Amino acid sequence: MVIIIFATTLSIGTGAFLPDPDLRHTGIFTPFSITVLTDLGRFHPFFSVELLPAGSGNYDLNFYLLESGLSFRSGIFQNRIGLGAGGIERKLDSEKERGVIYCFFVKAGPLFDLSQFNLLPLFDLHILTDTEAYTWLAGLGVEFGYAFP
Amino acid sequence: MDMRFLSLSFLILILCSPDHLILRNKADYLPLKVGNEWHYAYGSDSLIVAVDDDTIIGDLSCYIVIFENEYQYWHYDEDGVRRHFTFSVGPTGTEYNLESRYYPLFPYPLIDGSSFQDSFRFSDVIEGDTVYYFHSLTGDIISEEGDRYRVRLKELILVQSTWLDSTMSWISTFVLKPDVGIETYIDAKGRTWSLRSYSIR
Repeated sequence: MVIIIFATTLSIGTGAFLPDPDLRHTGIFTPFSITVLTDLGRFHPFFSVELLPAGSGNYDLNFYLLESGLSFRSGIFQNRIGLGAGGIERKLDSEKERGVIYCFFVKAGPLFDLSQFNLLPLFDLHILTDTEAYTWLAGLGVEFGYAFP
Repeated sequence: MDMRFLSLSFLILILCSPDHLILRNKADYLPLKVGNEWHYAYGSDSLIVAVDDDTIIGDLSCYIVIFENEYQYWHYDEDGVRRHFTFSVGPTGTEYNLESRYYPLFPYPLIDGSSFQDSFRFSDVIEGDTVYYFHSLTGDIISEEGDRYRVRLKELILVQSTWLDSTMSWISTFVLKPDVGIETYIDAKGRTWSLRSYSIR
């Protein structure tokens, strides 16, 4: 089976997300994401790889997510909604625990086009679950994109 | 067919993942509130652990916990549970504190395979005699089924003087269940106390 994805925009993003206060020892998450948007109709499917590291002292809590969803425009705003799955890692000194998580997310922000490039400051809300408990992250991010001609 | 098999395997793998790390990160492994009680049994013997009251010791709030028929003082915050421990000697009736401080009992975050250490030394001349005191603690944390953690504490107390030469060492083990507390307690005599009922707020 061959999957051909017509990428129209490739973006990289970062930001700062505050965690659910019940998540102990985490501090601020500093995400890094790579997003591929496709041009298939009014709603644009997209795929992202997102790394969300956080921690304080000798403790780290990291999320690794593969995400997919739909992007759509409403006026100047670009909105995204999607689902994802991936890994969670807790690390204290050299000891690690790893598990699986799933997420739902919404993102929205004004899209500024600068020729082939674009800038997207956005609000981001992630709801994550390990099937037994859930948590959330919310914050502001920014994406720098390049639209293929 | 291969793709279906791989997808199915992946789905089964992620659905069967036994570790719930968000739960572990958020859970209260020892919910301490005044009025909380845990009832344990070892054969026909019973043990009650109860949070009797709260107080302040050394600028830190702590819970007065009835544990093994004695009052213990446990401070709880996001770094876990610390016990305020006092050790004193009284060679002629007057009590002298050799140790009065908090030490880690269940330090958060609990992570499988991690360990912690703590030690305290003190020496002083008491009633004309030099007294040496040493208290050490090592703890090992192992995860168990159901997102539980087994915490094994090994403690050693040494007191040396001309009128007292004492070495005490013991091991105690606690199995902590998320949002329940101590589910199993193995005391210094090797007796396994199992949780029979509990009442927490």
